[in-house]
Amino acid sequence: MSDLTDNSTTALERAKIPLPKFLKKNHYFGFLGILLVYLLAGTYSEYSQTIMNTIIFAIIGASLIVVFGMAGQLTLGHTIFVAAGVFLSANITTVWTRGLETEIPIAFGVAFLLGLIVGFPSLRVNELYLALATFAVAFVGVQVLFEWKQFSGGGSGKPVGKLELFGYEFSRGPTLVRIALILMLITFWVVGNYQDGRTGRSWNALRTSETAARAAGLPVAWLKILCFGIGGGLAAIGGVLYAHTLRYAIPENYGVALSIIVVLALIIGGKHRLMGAVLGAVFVKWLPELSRDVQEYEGLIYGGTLIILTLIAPDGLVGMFEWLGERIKNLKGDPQAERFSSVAKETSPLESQFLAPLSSSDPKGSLIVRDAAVAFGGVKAVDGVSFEIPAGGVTGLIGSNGAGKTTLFNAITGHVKGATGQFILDGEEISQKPIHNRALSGLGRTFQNLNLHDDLNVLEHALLGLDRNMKYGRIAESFRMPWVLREEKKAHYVAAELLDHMDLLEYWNEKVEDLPYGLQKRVDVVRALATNPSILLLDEPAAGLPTAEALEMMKKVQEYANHISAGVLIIEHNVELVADVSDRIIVLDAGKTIADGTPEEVTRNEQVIAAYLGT
Amino acid sequence: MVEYIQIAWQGLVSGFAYALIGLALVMVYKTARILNFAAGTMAGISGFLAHWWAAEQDMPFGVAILFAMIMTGAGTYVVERLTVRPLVKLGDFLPIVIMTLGVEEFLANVSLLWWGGTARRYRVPGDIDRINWLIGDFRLNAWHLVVAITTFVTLSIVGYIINQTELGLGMKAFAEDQDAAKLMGIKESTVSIWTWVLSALVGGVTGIVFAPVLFLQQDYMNIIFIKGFVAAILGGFLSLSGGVAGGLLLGELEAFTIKWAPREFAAALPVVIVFIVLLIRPHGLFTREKGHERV
Amino acid sequence: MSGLIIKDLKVGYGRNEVIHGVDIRVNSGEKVALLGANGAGKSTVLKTISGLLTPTEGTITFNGDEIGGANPAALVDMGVIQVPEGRRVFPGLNVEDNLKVANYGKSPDLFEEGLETVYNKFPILQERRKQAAGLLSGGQQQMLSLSRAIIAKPKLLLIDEMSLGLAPLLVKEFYEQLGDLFSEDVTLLLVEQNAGLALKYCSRFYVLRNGELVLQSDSSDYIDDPTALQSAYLGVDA
Repeated sequence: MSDLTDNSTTALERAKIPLPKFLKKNHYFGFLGILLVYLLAGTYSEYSQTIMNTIIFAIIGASLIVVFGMAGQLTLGHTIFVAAGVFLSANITTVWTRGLETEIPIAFGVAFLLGLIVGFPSLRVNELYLALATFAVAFVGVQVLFEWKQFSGGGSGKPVGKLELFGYEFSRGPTLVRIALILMLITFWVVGNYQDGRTGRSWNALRTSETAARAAGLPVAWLKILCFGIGGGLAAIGGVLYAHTLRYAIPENYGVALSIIVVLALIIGGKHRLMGAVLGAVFVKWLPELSRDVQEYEGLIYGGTLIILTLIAPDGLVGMFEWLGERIKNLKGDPQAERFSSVAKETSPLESQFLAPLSSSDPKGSLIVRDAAVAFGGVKAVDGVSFEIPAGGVTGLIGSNGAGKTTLFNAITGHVKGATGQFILDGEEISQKPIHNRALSGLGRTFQNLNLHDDLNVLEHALLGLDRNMKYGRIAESFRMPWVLREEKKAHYVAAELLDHMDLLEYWNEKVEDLPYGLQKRVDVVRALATNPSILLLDEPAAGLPTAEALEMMKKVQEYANHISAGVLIIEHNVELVADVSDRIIVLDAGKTIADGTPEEVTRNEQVIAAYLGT
Repeated sequence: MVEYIQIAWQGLVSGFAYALIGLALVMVYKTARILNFAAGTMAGISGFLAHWWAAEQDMPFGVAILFAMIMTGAGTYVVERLTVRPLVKLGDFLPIVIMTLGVEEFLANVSLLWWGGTARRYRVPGDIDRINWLIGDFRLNAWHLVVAITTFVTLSIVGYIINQTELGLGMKAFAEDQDAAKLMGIKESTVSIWTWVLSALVGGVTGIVFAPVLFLQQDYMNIIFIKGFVAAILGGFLSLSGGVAGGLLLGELEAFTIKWAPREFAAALPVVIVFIVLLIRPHGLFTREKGHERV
Repeated sequence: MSGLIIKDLKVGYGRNEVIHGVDIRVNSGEKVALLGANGAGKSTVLKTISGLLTPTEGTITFNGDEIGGANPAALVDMGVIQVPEGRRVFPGLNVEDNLKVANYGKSPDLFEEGLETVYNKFPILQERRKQAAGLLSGGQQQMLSLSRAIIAKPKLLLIDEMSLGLAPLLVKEFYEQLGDLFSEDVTLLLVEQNAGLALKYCSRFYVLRNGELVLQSDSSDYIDDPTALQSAYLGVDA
């Protein structure tokens, strides 16, 4: 490899990071599976009903993956979207006498809007509350449906009209199964595309740490509501199919019981994978086919399975299979062997074609803090702090326990409510903006307690920071348009170089929870650096690290900050380290500034010594 | 005028049920930060056991109630130890919620297999539920009076346990500051288990006393569970007295909505309330934000 | 082996090891301070002794019994009592209930006796015994927090950062009172950032920095000039 002296080898190629492609291995498998059922559906027509139900449950399961699996919002009200699909279908086919071409868009659209409303409480309450609030929605939804006789036919229900598409009438049975399979293919394709794209990545991020997702500049509130909209819309497609299978829509079928069963099925199958939706559907729909006894104890078995799986395999059947797969792979050979052997860098990643354009000689990140104050109850955690940081410098912020350092950070980034004062970043007032907009304005930050996204790998953390650079819309993402892939590829290249710079490249595919603490700290920094911040706020980057390791990391951070001419504001207990890296140190005590000067001045300042030693 | 009193009384009687279940939910949430989705079904099973033993197994009514309460307590003990406790150590509450969902599915089906899906109405001793007194134009059902008295007694007992006993003190301390409570020598697992049991007993009483009002059906307590939850939200979910007050308020709101609003709206009322409360006062109607509500 | 003996203690939160092998010894009846700047890991050590955290390595023995990783409630029964950082009174409970919690699981007679002692020492608490603890001033809350420890009758007392968030003058008073509040034979380990105060009360001290012990000495060596501790605290020379 020594002949490669120029930039022709990118970090991405060296680490053999696969680029996003239009079709992946999973796509072929999925397509084959669906094709198989498509062909078999005609042969075993006595099972059409069960196959049909399985497909419907798989579609609903996939829609739940969006809401629960990815975005982490536990919803027990999912059936109201299914019900919306069912009754819209019944009304459209009988009252308007139109076919699927009308049913599906309207069902999707109405359920999408309904989802936005149902998703609203997720902004105000914790997950626990939300589960109950959506449970209440499901419960009350049926009752409203029941009473709204015009729409639902009341207790006796409403018949569903003919199965038509653009005026062509189809017989039910195998044809319906085929139509369902095509719809399932589309649903899975869309959900799979989210999993590979920025929306799915953002959902995963907000599930594992909302705080950090906001700090990376993601519009968390909109993403949360959106997941209910999309999940609801897709579930309604399942509802349309339900209507045509049952041919009669009765309100009481779509109550809490169904809501719980669909969630249960997905959890049993595995809530993070499309395969989990299929396995869950198969489990719930084929188990009763085994025998009459099983049918009688159906619910008992589901409940019992869920209890046992929650204790032993929280990621469901898919999780169990994946775990077994890993074990078998490990038996075959050393899992480490596949990891790339790190090739000596000939040139600095900063000079690569991907990071070089970010270079700037124009210092940015001037920050003015005026009269910042935060009170908790009656205690003033930050009590009128003012300072100005010039563009491009490194400033340390130290102070004793409870002096208000992290609270001041939170006030600047917007992570604490009720902060007063003015914050001006590069001449732009950011005091009134929500967290993610401050991040977009150029505030990058890390966290004392890391706040990493446990289920994402190292590369994805970098990609999260790059989210703002990817110029493709969510609709384009749903259908995997060419420019989506192009933007994703570009981001992958940049992310790889950034990882290379922070010496994380060889770990790109590791889940962060499996990394040693020191590397986790670097991942936190990478996520912030990837946002190309004007000023980087580091909250105790060295805590828990040996000083040498901390210094090495700080050196890398500073190099990068210099490269993009960004400023750095750093909170640190390790005074030795702060004094080493900072041009200037601000000392807080009891929420007020007590000293401000060069490291030498500050460490000699009597008031500072007194604050630390208490004489 | 009498018509309004009649409606108000109806609302109060439903409110008692919501208040009791709201109280049971808040109790567990406050000390352990857990919501028990099986609470409604568990309360339903208590009700079924008591009335089934009394009416079909010829047990004296009082003994049947006693046995049902013992079963409720013991069953809850087992459920907590077997399903919830192993997950508490993980420190993540989502698996616990999912677990209680599994328990709910399991128990609901146990009760379905045992008693079947049809609604039944068991007779209570002396057919008290069929006695109606007329006071002027005001109609008072004798069983409703029993409901009122039972609610009052239950609330008093819970109040006594929480305010006068060492267990209650431990529960309050634990709810306020878990680490500090541990440093005072209070065992987490002890407080947790007794909170669960107490909460289940309150639920059980509700199930038993409301069975004659509601018809015994396999899932008859689910609707009460939902409304108990709405009551708890009204009360801010961290205040026991708030939960009770929320329940009574919800009962009244419902009774008067049914009188004046279309049925579709009356049915949607609980959700409408949840949305409004979350929108304007997410911390509940009766608690100040971040304020410390006394129990 | 009497007293508290900590050997090669390592503690972490998840993967984050914050105490990297610490040895501390407090003889029976001795008063010892654990000093250091914030973030040094002092509170972590204390929380590990009182059972809130579990050591990843090393041993902790008290009067010969291994107590590392024991349940906090069991430790309270053994007489290991911690006065937590930031006072941590139960804000919604009234003063007397706060004190009652400290007597949890013990005989009410003992409580009456303890209550009398406490009210004698701090008459203001008696005056406010029906008031919610959250409404007390910071100093009164600290009194309450110390009183809970008095009621619990400690053999090993662990006090975490009494000076946090209190006026210096008040803190000084508390330190002066300590000897009066607890009997002479109580073994004490005191965590403090404020070296000047702690040295006056304790006979020996340890300094912790970044999870490692950097200095241990008799208080008398530094009592006249605590600023000499600066380099041990901060790791930079003045």
